[in-house]
Amino acid sequence: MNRVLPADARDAYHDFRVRSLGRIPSALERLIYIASTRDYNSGVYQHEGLAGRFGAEASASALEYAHWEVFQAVSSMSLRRLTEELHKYMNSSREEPTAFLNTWQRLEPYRVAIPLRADATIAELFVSNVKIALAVLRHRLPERRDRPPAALPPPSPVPQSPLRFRS
Amino acid sequence: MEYVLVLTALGGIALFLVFFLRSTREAREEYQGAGMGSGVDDCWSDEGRGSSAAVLGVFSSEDQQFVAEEGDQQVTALFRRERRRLAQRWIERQKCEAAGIMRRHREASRSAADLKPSSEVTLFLRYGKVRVMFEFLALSVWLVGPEGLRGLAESANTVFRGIQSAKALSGDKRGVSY
Repeated sequence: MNRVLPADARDAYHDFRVRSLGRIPSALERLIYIASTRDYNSGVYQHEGLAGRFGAEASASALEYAHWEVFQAVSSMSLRRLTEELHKYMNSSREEPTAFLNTWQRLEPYRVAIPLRADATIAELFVSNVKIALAVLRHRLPERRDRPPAALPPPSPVPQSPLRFRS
Repeated sequence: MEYVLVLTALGGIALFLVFFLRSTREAREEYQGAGMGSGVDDCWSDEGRGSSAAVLGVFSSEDQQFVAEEGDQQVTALFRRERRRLAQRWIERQKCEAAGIMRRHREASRSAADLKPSSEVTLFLRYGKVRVMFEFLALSVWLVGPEGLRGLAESANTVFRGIQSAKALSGDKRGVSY
C-alpha cells in the first residue's frame, strides 16, 4: 500500500477502514458498499465525509484502493464461504429470497462490484463464483419452501365436502 | 479388418484434435474479444499474486467438494462448465502473455548491443517449456476438467513467472508485468 498510495490517501484509507468498513460485518457487504461509492459513468469514487476531511482526490484514491483490497479478499474466498456470505447478504436485504435470486441472476448487479484495476482472471472467477453461489442458494430454496406452514394441515386425499352434505 | 481399425483410430485422433483445437480457439477468441489482453500494468497486484490466486480458485478441488455435497445436478453441471471455461481462458491468457513477452524481447534484442547467447538460449528454452506445459494443461482440462490439476497449473505458472523474472533481470522492463 505504501508504494501505491500517497500519504494523505493513506490517512484517508485508514480512516475509512476504521469508521466505515469496520461497522460492516461481512466482506461481501463491504464490497458492495464501496462499489456503490463509485460513479457509474466516470468511475470516480465519491464519499462526502471522507472528501471533507482529506480532500476529494485523496478520498477517491483511498476508496479505490479499499475497493481493490476488499475485492481481492472476496474473490479469493472459497465457494462455500462466498455462498454463506451471499446468504447472509440476501437475508439482510429483507427482500423475498425468490425475488432477490431472480434479480441477481437476471440483472447480474454484482458485476458493478468489480474494481477497474482487478486482474482479469480474478474478476472472471468472482463473477463465476457468484453465479454458482446463486445457483446453490436457489437449489436450497425449495427445501425451505416445501415445509408446510404450521397453521395449515396437509390436504386430505378424501374429499370432505360431499360427506358433509350427505349428513 | 486391420484397415478399418486403423481408419477408425485415425478418425478418432482427427476428431479429438479438431474438438481440442476448437475449444482452445474459442477460449482465445473470448479472451481477445473481452479486450483483456492489452495491458499487463492495469493491476496493483505485483509479484504475480493475482495469477496465483486465480490458479488457487480456478483449480480448487475444495470448491468441487462443496458443490458435490449440495447434490444438485444442475449446480454441478454449471460448476463444471464455468470452471472449465475459466481454466481455458486463464491458460490462453498466460500463453498470450508469454508470447507477448517473447515478442517484445525479440524487438528489444534487435537494437541491443550486449546480448548474451546463454541467457537467450535459457529464455528460449523456458518459453518452450511454458508452451508445452500450458498445451498439456489445456488438453488435460479439456479432457478431465481443472479440478485436481492445481499442481500442474502451479508448475506451469512458476515457469511462466520464471520468464518474467528472467526478463526483469535482463533489464528489459517493457516485457515485465508490474
